[in-house]
Amino acid sequence: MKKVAFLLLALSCCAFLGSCGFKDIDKRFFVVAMGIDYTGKTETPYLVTLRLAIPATKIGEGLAESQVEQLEAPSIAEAVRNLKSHVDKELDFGQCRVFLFGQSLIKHSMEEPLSWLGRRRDIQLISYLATAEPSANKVLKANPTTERIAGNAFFLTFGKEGTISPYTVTEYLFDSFRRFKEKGLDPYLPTIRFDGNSYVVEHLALLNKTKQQLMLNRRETLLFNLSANAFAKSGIAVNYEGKRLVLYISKVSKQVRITKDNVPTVHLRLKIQGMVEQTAVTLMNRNIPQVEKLLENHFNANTERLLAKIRDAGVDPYGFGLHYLAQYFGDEQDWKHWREVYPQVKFDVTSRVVIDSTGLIR
Amino acid sequence: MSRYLYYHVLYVGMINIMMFVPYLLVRDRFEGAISGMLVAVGISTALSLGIVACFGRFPGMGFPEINDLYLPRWLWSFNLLFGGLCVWLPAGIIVIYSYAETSRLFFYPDMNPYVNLFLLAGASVWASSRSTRTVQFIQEIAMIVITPMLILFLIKAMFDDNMDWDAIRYVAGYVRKPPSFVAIASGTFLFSGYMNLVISNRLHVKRIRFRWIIPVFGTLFLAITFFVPIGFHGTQGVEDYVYLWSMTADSMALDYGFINRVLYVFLLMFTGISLLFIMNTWHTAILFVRYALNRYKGVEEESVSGLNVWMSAAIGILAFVYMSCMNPERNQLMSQLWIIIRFFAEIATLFLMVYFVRKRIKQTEKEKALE
Repeated sequence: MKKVAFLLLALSCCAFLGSCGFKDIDKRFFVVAMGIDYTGKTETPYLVTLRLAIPATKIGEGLAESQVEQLEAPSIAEAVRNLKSHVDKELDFGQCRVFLFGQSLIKHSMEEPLSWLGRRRDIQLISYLATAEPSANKVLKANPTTERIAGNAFFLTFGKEGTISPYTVTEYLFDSFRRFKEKGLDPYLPTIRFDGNSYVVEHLALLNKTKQQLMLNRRETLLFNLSANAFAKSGIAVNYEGKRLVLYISKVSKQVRITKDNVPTVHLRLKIQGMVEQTAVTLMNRNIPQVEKLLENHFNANTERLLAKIRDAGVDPYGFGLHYLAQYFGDEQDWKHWREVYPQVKFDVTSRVVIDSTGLIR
Repeated sequence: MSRYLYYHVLYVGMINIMMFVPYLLVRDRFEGAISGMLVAVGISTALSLGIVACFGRFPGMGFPEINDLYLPRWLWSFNLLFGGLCVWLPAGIIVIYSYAETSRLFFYPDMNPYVNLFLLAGASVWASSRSTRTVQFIQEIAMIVITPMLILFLIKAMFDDNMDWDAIRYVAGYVRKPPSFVAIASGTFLFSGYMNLVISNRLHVKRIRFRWIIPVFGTLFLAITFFVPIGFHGTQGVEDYVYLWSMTADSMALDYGFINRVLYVFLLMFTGISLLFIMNTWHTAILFVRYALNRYKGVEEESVSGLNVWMSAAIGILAFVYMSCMNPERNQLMSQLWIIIRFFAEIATLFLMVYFVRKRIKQTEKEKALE
């Protein structure tokens, strides 16, 4: 009797299971990338584009199939809810790892998209963020020829598993949340565009706490990635004896010190190690210090120019402000002082370039 | 068998995340959390070493029997019922609610919350109704299963490239503020694993060695629980998150691992840690009440007593009741209240134990004099 009662009790638990609302995998649409554009209209300012993966039996280059859905709405949440009536399966954001913001949006304001991303609990904080040129909608509609799994080209482009390019600055969602709030540290977003058969990421947009202030070109992006993130696997070039000399960088280390003068000076020190990748000139041992000196001067001057340009745009993606507060264990007073003097802050870049080898030939 | 005590220290050091300790500390980060944590380290070191030393004077005896020796019945019954029902029992209930909600939120948000709670409560009711010896063994097995994930997670958290050391240093600079009381109370919770001696001292007949582990582990966990979220979310962004550590775990990626999101490793690990904590707190609550009822003090039972099963089933039902009247904000308030009550209960325990030890010393002196 007791056993029977227990069995019945255990079976009655199964009644719970009906209510857990679990949906099978074939009843779901996995969103692999999402794009948000600003339309400028007063009624429907946001254009949301979703790229949905279509489960396929065949996997191969160019066979990845996806469906793109788009809708304009007064807010992002409403657009997503409304899009549910455009598809036959449940939308699942659990696998969505790329969020693209159109150029129009980041020039307008990032406030609304960030609040939507922050409140949704099924959004991964390790998603990649980027701005899209000319618009997120256009980039998401494009189909890269070599994509094996829908949306995978994005992950490989931004992540470190696939290509590692010195022009690609990876930006995670959690890092953006941090940068949009932090004192003395401002956000940035890499820019993605489609060139006909693949994605190109080589520019960097610098933002203040709400919108874009400056767009770095290709050369500046590389320099920024090198000096701010100590990104190795990069390269610097200089004209030596009339010929182009390119140094492949294998190791970088960075050090920042800020003086506590009335107008602080930021001392950025970098140690760059690498090998010569290309030059038409034969490099003997006695030439090497000369080349190193040349590279150093060239790099210092360029970086200082870049830092001044970023400072004049009124943003601080390097986090000098935060470093200043950290270095002197500052308080509100110091923060106020820093904000006042930041437009006049002086920069001093010293680098040490070490050429490990000249490649396989001299 | 000192290691059985340190299992307690280890999982209680981690469970603070489900008790919203990081949230409480981070809320006060510019208003005395750092100095509060330093004070907490001092207080906890004294409390833990003191209480462990006092229990060492009563080998093989739990807190209920020791109370019984030197206090009148009404007082020790009150002590045990208060300790069991107002300190140990709510601890498990708050954690089971927090973990059920956290895991539901991240695994499958549309699920009925009670289903999740049912699964967890079922396991905890079964485990906590076993005998003390069995509970101790369950704990060892669970700790062995969890440890690889724990080590992976801690290493990942401490050495991640995306940690912003400037933010940590900046917040650490606020050590000059006077300590806040909530930070002290919540900081001391991380060291509280040794409190499980109140029951498990019945199994410790030999001297407990390596006692320095308690303050060292506690300080380490305190530093991690407070500074790592700040390193990931910055000094300002960190205050936005309700489930602070889940979001911190979600900010880490295993690029070449078989699971991309560290969040899942974290939640899986916390299934184990939460169940362990719930099992132990409910087991202690049950045994406290049982001693108050019929002075039961065994550590092994051939077949589990009906009393244990009914009491733990009642606690399981209580967990459902708790869930039906709580929402995350109220739960947060409850955990804060509990942390403060526990802080005073721990201090009271130390004073009681010191009193008992002095009585005992006097007694032995008297006996010697008679001989």
